[in-house]
Formats: sequence, C-alpha cells, structure tokens
Amino acid sequence: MWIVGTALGPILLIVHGVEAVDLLLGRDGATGLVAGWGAIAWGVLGSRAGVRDRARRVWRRLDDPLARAGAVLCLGLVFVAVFAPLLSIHAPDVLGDPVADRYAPPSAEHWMGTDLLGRDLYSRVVHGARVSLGIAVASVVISVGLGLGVGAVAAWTGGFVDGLLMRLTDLALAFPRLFLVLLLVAFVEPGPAWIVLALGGTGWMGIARVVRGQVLQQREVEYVLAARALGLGETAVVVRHVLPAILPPVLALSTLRVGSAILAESFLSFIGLGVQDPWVSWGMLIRSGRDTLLDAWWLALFPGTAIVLTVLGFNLLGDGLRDALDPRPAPGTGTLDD
Amino acid sequence: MDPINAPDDRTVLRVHDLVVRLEVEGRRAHAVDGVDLELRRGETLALVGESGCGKSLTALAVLRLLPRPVAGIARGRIEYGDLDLVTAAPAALRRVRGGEIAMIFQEPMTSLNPVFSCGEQIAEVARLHLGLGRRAARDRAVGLMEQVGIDRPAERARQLPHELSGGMRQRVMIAMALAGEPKALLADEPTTALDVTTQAQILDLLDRLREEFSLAVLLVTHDLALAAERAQRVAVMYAGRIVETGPCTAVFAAPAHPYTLGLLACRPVLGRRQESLPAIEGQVPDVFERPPGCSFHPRCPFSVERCRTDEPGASEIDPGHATACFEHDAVLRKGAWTDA
Repeated sequence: MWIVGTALGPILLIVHGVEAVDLLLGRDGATGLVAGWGAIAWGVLGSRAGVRDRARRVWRRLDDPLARAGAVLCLGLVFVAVFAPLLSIHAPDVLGDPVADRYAPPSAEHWMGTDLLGRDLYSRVVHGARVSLGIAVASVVISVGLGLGVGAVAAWTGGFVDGLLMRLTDLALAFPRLFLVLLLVAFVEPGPAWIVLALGGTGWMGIARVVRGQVLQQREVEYVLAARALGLGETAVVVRHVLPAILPPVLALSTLRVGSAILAESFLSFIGLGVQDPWVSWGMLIRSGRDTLLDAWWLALFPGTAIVLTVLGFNLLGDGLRDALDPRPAPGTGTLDD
Repeated sequence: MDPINAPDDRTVLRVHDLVVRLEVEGRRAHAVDGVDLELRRGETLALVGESGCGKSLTALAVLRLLPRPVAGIARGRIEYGDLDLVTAAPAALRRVRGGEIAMIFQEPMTSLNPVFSCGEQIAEVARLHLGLGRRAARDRAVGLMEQVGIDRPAERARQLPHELSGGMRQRVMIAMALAGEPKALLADEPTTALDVTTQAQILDLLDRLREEFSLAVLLVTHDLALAAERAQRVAVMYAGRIVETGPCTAVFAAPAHPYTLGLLACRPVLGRRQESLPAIEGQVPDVFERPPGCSFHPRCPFSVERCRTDEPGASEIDPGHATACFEHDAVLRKGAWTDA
C-alpha cells in the first residue's frame, strides 16, 4: 500500500495542473496538491516498520467505541475537506436563479437548500470544511510548535530561563484569548492567514505548560540518564528520547485543541471578523442564516451541525488518544518474568 | 603515590580523592569523601555498602552524571588514560560515555525507553560510537542481542521493552552498554530488581563478557555475598569513605575493618541454627550529620578514644589490602563479630 502511495503522490503533484485531471479531481487544483503530498507522506511513513507497528498498536488500543467513533468522524471530515470539489454538486459560489432558487428548502436538487443568492448550501458546507479545518489545524500546528519550544527550553534549561519563560506564559494566559484574537484581527485585513496566526499565537500557553511538566518529569527518568551515560549529547537526548516520550500527551491535547480552534474560528467568522467572501467557512454560513432562522432554518442548521459533529469528533478522538497513546502497558497485561 | 592504588599496567580507570558534594535545602555535605578506586582490565571490582553510603553517587560521578544542582564533584581526579574526566570538555566526555566507559542501571524497566524497540536503542549507541550506518547498526544490535543470550534476537529486536521480561530487559541494557565497545563497565546494582535465578544468569553473563572483552567492571552492590562470589577485588564503603579495600580472598578471610567484620557476621549461614540474625547496632548516620572522627565509631565495639576525634587514614596491612581503622590489629585478632 505504501509503495502505491509513494508512486502515486508525485504523479498527482505533476499532473494536478492539467485540465482534464483537474476536472476529475476538482477544478481548483488544491485537491491534487493535498492528495499528492498526502500520498507521499503516507508512503514515506508507511515504509517504516516501526511507524506501521505503532499505528497498528494505537488503533488496537483505541478500543473505546466512542473514541473510534470520534476517529471515524475526524477521518471523514478530513476526507470531505480534501475531496470537497469531488463531493460537491455545484460550485460553492455559483449563483442560482434569483427567483426560483432563492431560499429554496432542502430538496433532491439542493440537499441542504439554498441561500439568499441561490447558492447550493450543501456545496458550501463541503467547501467550508476545507477552510474551517485548515485554519484550525494550521493554528494548532503553530500553537504546538510554540508550546513545545517554550516548554521544552524552560524545563531543560531550568533556573532563570525557566522562570522567565513561565512568567511570560502566565502573563499571556492572563488575557482572555478571544480578546487577544479580536485585538490582533482588528488591526489587519481579515483573511485566513491572519486568523491562523492570531489563533496560533494565542493558543500555545496551555501546551507550553503541559510540555514543561512532561519534560521535567522526563528529565528524572532513568532511560534519559542511561542515554546520557551512553554518550548522547543534550540536544540528542531531548530530540531522540524526551520529545518522543512526551508526544502522546501533546498529540492528545492537540487533537482536543483542533476542536476548540474550530469553535474559535467559527466565532470570529460569525461576528464578521473572520473569513470573508469569497472564502467559505462554517461560522460565516451560520452568520448568513442568522436573520432568517425561522424561515430558512436550514441555513444555520446544517453548518451548525457540521461544527457540532466536528468538535465532538475531535474531542472524542482526543480523549481516546490520551489513553491509547500512553506507552505504559494497559492494566492487566503485565509480562511474565523469566 | 598511595599504597592501595599502586599503578598497574592493567589499570583502565583511576579515581583519586573523589569528593562529591551534596546540597539539599541549604544543607551541604560531602556525600562521597575522598574515595580512591582503580579498575583493571579483565577484573571486577565490587563497591559494597549500605544504601546512602555514596556508592551509586561515586559511580555516577565517574561519568559526570551527578544530578545538578543537587550534587557535584568538589574535588578529585578521575583518570581515564591521559584524560581527567573531572575537567574534560563536554565533547570528550560524550566520547568516553558509552564509547570507553559504559554504565548499566538497576531498574531494567525504567532504563529502557518505552517508545523505542530494543533493537533501535542498541543500534543508536552503535551508530553514535562506531559510526555505523543504519543497516549495519541494526545488524550489530541483533548480533549483540545474540551475544548477551537473547534467543530469536532478530524478532526480539523489533519488540518494545515492555514486551520483554525483566531479565531480558537487563540483557538488552547490557547489549546497549556493549554496543560502543567500551573498555570499562559500571554496573549500578544490576541485579537488585531481578529474582534470584535471573540474577545468577545476568551475573554469569557479565563474567563471561568481562573475560571475552577484557572489560574492567565496577560492580556496585549492597550484597556482600554477591561481591565475594563475583569480584576479584572489593572496596567496602561506609558513610562516603572507602573503609577497607583489597583482594576478595584477603578481605573476606581476614577482615581488617570492624564494619566489614560486622557485615560478614550479619550474613545468614546455611545449616546453622540461629535464633535471630546478628545486626550491627545503631543506624547509618545521616549524610548531613556524620559524627566527627571515624564515622563508624558510634556503632563500633572496637572504638577507642581517638576514634571520636581523629579520622583514620588508609593503612596497608598486606600488599593491596588496606583498611581505614586505628584498631585494625584488634579487629584482625577478633576475626569474628558474634562468634564466641
């Protein structure tokens, strides 16, 4: 399977600009890009036996049905986001007939109805998944990067640096997050990139605290001492032994954070400071349905449901991962001594 | 040149006048106080003592692995060839760690990283010190696992530490320690966490490897019987000092320090009826409140007036057999603690 991925990835990347292929994969080309890189990542990671073993083990230990449901929801959402142009029936910004298609209720032609301008809501929700999920994931990646850096440096260096970094973290935490984000977004032209930066730049504090605690714990662990006793340098010890060990809780936390980032982005878009036309995000879809809630109820209901399901999915998966990624053997599976 | 550690062409590592300071909550003490040790090629030196006597700190200090800022080396030299490890630069130190002197620890569960396979962890050391490529290092890891007596090594190499038993994990740890082709091995209570049969197997393995690779081994243990059985030379430690050192045969046949004598008397003897095991009276002194003079004097039946005030230096009673006791003649004459 992973060989197929490594072969298919570059081909997808090369051909994604060709018109016939774009018609197949979706007109915007982004599908080809994401699918191509995804296939390459799949191929590279999958070719490593250790990664395969670990992924299989995690899935086996993700045995809570709710966690698995969360995983299915999340994977389904990622699938929808990547292949949005293939899944949608209409282009999200094509206007319908101003009379016939205006505020059409859900039907076989428009599964989720249409809006004021006769645009197909289903297609817009599907495309909105890209923006909402993309912004959330990208901002969490930034938060995790910052949090890992600040937390690991603080814990490993200790002393004055530790105190300074942690007091800065406390200071940043003292501001309400949405207030900070609003402040940042108010000064720039609203756009996805700024929202990513604003959300990413205000979400790292909790992660930094968790990382610091974990690294402090790891510093005392015997295998870190053993690694140093066998000649690994400080950086190598941190990168090879400390970071992989703290990755499970960080990964679980990040998954939960994706959910809250989606909520934050929706909120920003809902109050009009987030994503703007021609971009589509779930928050702005709800905003457009706000005034007609009693008449064109579908306009707010379907994007709202998408948000609920997504956040629920990430929360369930995050909780499940926290248990499943714990490297300690599950209770009751101790080994026999020889 | 002190008489106990006369230079020898088999000398691999020499510790001279090592002092480790300990600082906890503002209280300071010398947890290790002027220790001399010498490791020789193909020989096991047992460092014996009760918990808290400073034996583990001594072993950690040799590789400069003391937990900062709580502990640090205050004085002394640790000579490996021409290099003094106390003043060595970090890069030189990293080459020595694992490449020249390796260390294994007590708890094989926690001294292996739970998220990497056993083979990966051994290969990592081989790549670091022998400059091997990924594939060559993996092959060497499997070879080493076979050498330390792990059956189906290729399969085991892919397993995670928690999938192996305690004895197997300790074998993996030993394979890791050997992966950099070191000349000396510091083993800090390597079998304390294992059951008795596994213990014997691991010690047999260490003996075999010592002979095969002419390793110099420092065996840190609280178990006197184990020291007698496995070591050629022994150093008995009490309250941060080496109180008696010498060839195992001499020290155990004719102990010249009351503490050694006391430890020997505490051992149960198979076949002899005993109401209760004799024990050394009193407690090990707290590291921050060690008595003046000889630290052992409050517990010592041989103590005389000057033990309370003066610190006994090491005196050689036979070639290579030295003791730090003013009354060693009396101790030698008495010969046994409670046997009357």
